[in-house]
Amino acid sequence: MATIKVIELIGDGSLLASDKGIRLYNAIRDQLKAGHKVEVDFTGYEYLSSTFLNHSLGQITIDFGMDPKKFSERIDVVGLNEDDISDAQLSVQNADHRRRLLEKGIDPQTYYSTHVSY
Amino acid sequence: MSWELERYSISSASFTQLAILGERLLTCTSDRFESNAKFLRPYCIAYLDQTLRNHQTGLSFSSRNPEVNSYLAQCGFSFLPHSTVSSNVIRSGKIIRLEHFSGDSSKAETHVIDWIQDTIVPCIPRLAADLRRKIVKNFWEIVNNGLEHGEGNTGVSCCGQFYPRKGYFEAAFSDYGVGIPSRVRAFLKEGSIPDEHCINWAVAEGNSTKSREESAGLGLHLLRKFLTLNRGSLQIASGSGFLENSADCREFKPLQETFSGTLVNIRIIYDNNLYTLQKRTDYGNH
Repeated sequence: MATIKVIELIGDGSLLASDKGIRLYNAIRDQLKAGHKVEVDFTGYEYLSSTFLNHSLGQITIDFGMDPKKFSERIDVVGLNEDDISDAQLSVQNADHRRRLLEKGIDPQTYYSTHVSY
Repeated sequence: MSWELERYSISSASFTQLAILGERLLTCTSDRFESNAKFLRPYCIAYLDQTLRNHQTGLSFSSRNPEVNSYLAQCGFSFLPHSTVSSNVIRSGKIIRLEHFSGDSSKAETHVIDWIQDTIVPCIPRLAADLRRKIVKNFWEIVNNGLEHGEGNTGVSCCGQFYPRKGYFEAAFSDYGVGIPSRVRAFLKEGSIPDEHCINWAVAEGNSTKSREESAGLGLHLLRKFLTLNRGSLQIASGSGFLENSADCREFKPLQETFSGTLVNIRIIYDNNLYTLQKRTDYGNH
């Protein structure tokens, strides 16, 4: 198993902006493409945003055709506190939903625009 | 009687008057504008800073009241004419000087986080570490929304003040981007939604948790819950929509004048409670 230490990768305990998420996405993608199972270790982080999670774990979920079960089979996420674990799970679930829409030929934005009330 | 308010309070009427003032500034062809204001709040200064940054030819702003000019100077307001700057009047309370963030949101992240930790957090009641991290993150999201989604060229202006005698703190964030209503209408593909309904939609729980590409929400749910418990309040003005969220009300209404971009004002009561994050969405104080 390959381990990605997020803080070492990003160089900062503040995991908020989208392009930091993309850097993590790239690192996970490279390991998955090499056929490795990946441990993503968040130990030592200070701040974590849904933007960061969506651009990293969420986008991996979409691009590698995973559902939450397949995600957990190939990626171990460790070092998150309890509340942020929920956010990470939500990011994967939402990405899985988006992926399934795309596979059905449904534009997610069109779907959300017609299924969200105001 | 002047069209302008002398004292700006936290009300939709005052926000409307500020929008009118902003419009007058933008269309002012002189190089100097003198206001009748006798009392400005941080949200006024943040919005004025953005408005004047967007003025085509450059415009200075001052008040006929020297105390207001002194306050503006203490806030670091850079559009005062040199002749009116005076430091004789010392205003009570702690001023959070104008801070301006611009450019790529990722590059600004450290600057924004440092500013929030150093200037905003000390003005907030005691927070448990996990809740503090999330509140800091929510403040970052306010700034980041302005930088990432505002689509304006003049970044985000922030200003605040701690009012010790009144026991509260106010912080304001202003950007000159496309505004919340435009983003929400584009996202919902529904062009007829009134501006105030768009803002109400944007702050609703769950409307910012989808993939980034599909989201037009603001992601301020936790901060709003904290403010409710704290009996503080949140005001958002964008386009002609206005939303006020407090422990007693969640009111959204149309304004009589249109705001450029988005203006967010937050009031936090400085009490002796220790606020903790009990579980995912429930917060308690002891």
